[in-house]
Amino acid sequence: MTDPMVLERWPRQRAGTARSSSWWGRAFVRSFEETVVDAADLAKARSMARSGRLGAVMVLAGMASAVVDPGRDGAVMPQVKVTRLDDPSWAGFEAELAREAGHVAALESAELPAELVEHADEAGVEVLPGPADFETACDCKAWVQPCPHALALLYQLAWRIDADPYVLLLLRGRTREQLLDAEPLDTLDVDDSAGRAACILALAEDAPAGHGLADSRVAAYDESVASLVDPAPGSSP
Amino acid sequence: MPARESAVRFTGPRRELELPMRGAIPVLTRAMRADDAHASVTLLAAASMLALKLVAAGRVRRSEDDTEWRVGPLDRADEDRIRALATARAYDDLDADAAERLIRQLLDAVADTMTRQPTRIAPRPRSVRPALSDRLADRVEDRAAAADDLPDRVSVSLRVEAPAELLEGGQVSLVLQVHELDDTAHVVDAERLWLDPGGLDTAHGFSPRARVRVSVALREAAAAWPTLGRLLRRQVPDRIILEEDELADLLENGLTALAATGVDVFWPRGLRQELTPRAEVELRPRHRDDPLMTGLFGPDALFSFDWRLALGDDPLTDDEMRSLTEATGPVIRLRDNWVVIDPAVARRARRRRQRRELKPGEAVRAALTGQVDVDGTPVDVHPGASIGRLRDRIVDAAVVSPMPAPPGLAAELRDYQRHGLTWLAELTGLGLGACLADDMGLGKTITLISLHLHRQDRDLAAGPTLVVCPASLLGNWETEIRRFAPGVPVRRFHGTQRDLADLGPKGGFVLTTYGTMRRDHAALADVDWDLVVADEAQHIKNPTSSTARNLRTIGSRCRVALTGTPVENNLTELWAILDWATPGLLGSRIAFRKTWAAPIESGVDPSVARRFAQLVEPFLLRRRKSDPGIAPELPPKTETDQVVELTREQVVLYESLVRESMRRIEEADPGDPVARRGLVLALLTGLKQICNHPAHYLRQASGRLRGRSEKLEVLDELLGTILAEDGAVLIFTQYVAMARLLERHLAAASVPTLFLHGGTPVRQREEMVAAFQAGPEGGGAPVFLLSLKAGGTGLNLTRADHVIHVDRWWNPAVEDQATDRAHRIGQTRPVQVHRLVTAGTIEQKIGELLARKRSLAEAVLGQGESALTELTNDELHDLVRLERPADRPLRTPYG
Repeated sequence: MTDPMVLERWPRQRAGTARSSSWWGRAFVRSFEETVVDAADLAKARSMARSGRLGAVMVLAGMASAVVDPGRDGAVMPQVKVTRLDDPSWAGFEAELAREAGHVAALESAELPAELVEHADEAGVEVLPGPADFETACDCKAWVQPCPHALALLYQLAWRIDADPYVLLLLRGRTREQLLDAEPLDTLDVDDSAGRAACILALAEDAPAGHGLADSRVAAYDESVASLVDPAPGSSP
Repeated sequence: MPARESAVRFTGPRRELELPMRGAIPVLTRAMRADDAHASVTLLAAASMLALKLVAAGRVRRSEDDTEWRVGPLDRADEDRIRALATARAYDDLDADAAERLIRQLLDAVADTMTRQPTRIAPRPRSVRPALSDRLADRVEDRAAAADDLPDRVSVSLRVEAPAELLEGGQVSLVLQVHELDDTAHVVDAERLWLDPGGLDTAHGFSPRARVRVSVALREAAAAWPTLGRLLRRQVPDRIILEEDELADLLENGLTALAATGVDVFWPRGLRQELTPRAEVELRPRHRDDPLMTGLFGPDALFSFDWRLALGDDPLTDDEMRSLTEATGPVIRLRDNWVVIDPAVARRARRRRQRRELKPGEAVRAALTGQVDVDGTPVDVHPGASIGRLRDRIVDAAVVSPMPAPPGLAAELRDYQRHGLTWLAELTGLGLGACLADDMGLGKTITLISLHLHRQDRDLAAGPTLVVCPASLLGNWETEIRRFAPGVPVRRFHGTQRDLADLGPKGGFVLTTYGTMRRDHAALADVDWDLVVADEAQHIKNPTSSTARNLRTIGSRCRVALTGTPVENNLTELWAILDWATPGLLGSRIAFRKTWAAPIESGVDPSVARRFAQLVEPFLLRRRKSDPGIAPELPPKTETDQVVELTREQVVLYESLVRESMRRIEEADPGDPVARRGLVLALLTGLKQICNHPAHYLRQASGRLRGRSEKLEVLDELLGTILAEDGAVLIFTQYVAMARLLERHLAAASVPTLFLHGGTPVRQREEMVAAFQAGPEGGGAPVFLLSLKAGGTGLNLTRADHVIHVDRWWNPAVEDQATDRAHRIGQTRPVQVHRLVTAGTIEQKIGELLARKRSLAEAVLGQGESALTELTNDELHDLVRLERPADRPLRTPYG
């Protein structure tokens, strides 16, 4: 997958395929549908999106475009811009991505783990674009944006995102390669040790006052803390 | 020295104690609460609390040389706190600067101790591992140049690590390993791919992208065994500690599921010792003092059976079995070793009952196959003392030296017959059944009579012997018993005679037919039989038939099946016969299909067939005439009378002809001997025809033949056996009409025949003889019908090894001449001669006359049939009068 991604033209679709099948696809749709002025445009756009009239969709970091009715008179090219996440945000997202080995595996299996998005959210990184993150343009004569062409493109993007969450991440500014090759080393280990350190501090507040190792409360405390300091002794080289 | 290897030395009034960081941190953190601590302790205690707060806030980073962890970056507030602490806690010998150095050392020591992964690769030499900043600088070039050349296609496997500390808690550690897909010998711990992301200098030899592939492969593995989801949730999917229940689940479900997705699991040597179940079968103690093991399989005989697990060849002790069943998880300590056992094995061990009972059939099966069923799975039997003796005795039954013929047997037994008798005596002596399946003519009947005599003689028998046979063989049994075991009571339970009273404790023989047994099995089941014999046991080959089912209801101390047709080739028939003879030996019919028949027929595992043979062979004795050692013993010619009963139709015809003819003979003019002779000859001829078949006497050229003469039924039985043995047979009758009748009867049964009579043209005769001699390859039918006079002389029919005389020729020489068609030079096999004789009729009487009063008979019969015309009326009447079985004396009047 490279930047730009070229997503092949979809032929005409059955009616009823307008709904996204993934939770992240649906969230994407909810966001851009909020920007619409005339609700009637949505139905028009959905039917255009599955009519086969859209050509191949080109996706670059932060933007996407397609031609409606390519090669014909009156062909127009809607464009969608999505706010790109800044570098610190991406660093935060990458940190979250590296937190669990399963996250990358899920993405590779075309799945966006809800946990990953939630944790990124908590760290202040909003992967899913909000209504304000969309900006559209089109060379049709419509006097408000998003026009039905742009909406049709957005619906198609939502479906593509269903099948490949990397499309969403590219719209937010990062290619799959950039994400997979991110250097995870510096975030390693720290969080885990941070949690254990916090546990020790909590235990220490109620630490037993006695001295002797004969005191079972002392022994229990020492054992708990030691296991938090180094959870698996004996297996280190 | 790395910071984490720092130690804290505590000096007290009486002793010094040096603790590593792992041990020191607990002591220091709780020292905050102690009021009387020394100032040096309070300093370090406060410093360690500060360190923990920094670590908790994630304020740790790598050292410049990238070998250890330090606190940092420290902001102004942190710096202030350190300084304040140093100033506040400086004491006697320690100024604030020194205190601050000490505090900073401790902070780094805590940070490095806490932040190290639980296990990690040994730090690599600095020269190989450049500082992070350098690596970042090189990163772009590295990526472009080298990474693509390194393999990124991977598979994963799991390695179990089991240090004693974990095993004591019932746990093991599961480590994720990465293999290069095209070179599985290239393997590293997955952890290393994360700790060393890769580039030109990677020691693990995988491209950076391999990490992603590992994650994906791990995700697939987790789909197969969900516990691996815990690895996926780790930042570095290096290892997880499996708790007891997870380890049990791995053993029970995980290994199979993972193997199916191509994920191997490697175990430390010795951890998964193969614990194999092994059974011991013993006689119940109360039978142990029975030295002869006689009646071992009687109704009260019981075997007890116990099984336990064995480590290699060494069975576990009771204590070890107990500790195994009491273990809550799969990890147990066994003989100073830790072992991981499959939960299924442990469950079986828990279900194990201390001493289970085994039915005799199961015990024999266990003894012979070396396996016993435990909850549906075969378990190897450890040869215990008594089961071993039992096995030896069963297996040796066929090879022990033959016993002498029992006293009371009025015949010589041939060696192989004594051998068969010994075998039967051994098996029945153990209370087991047997199937004697010798070729026809080897003397199964006399062997069985010997067995009866043997058991009675040795007081092994506790009752009479019941013989169940086809109706056509009743007469034969009776004749042979009277002949070979004179004085032994024999009675029929058949037709109108169904008397089982006063059999006595040392009974003789009771003969019955399969039909009668089927209808009257309840009465037969009331008798305390010693031995029940099923002759022509193929009659019970269908186990669901009422014949087979009813025969099973008749109890006895032992059972013997006799059959002349090979049964060992049809597994279901073999099961039916052996399961009757020794119930339970082969298991239920369904179990038999599953365990033996299906695997043998599919031929996948030859060892199954071998074990089956081991199980069955001891109970099946089949000798062929062609076997080495058997043929030389056989006389070149064996003659057997097949005695049959008249049917009701025949009796009516026979008696009315006798009555009518005798009246006319008595009324005949004594002065006209020619007329009297004519009447006598017509009577004799008519009676012989009636004895053959009513249709023969009544000159019926068509119509029903079946069920009207037992000679036909015996013929069918004989032919069935002969043809099954690939034998060939000559059938002689003195009447062409009878030969035609037989030809019709055999054609209806689809038995191909040749037919030669006086009217056959010479050329056709030669063709027929040539065809018969050529055998099946030459298209020759195996059955040759001959009229006695036509076939009596000149023909060479040595292909036949059986000769059947359907009716009697008064002159034995004529019969011998006919028999000699088969029994002559060129014959390589012994020839068996079967004479069909109707009981109580003129046929039998003349036969007995011939046998018992040979000299007289020769004198009287020298001139053939015409000599009989010279008998007086009374003599003639005695000769032709039909003796009904009820009034038939033990011995004939001529005896």
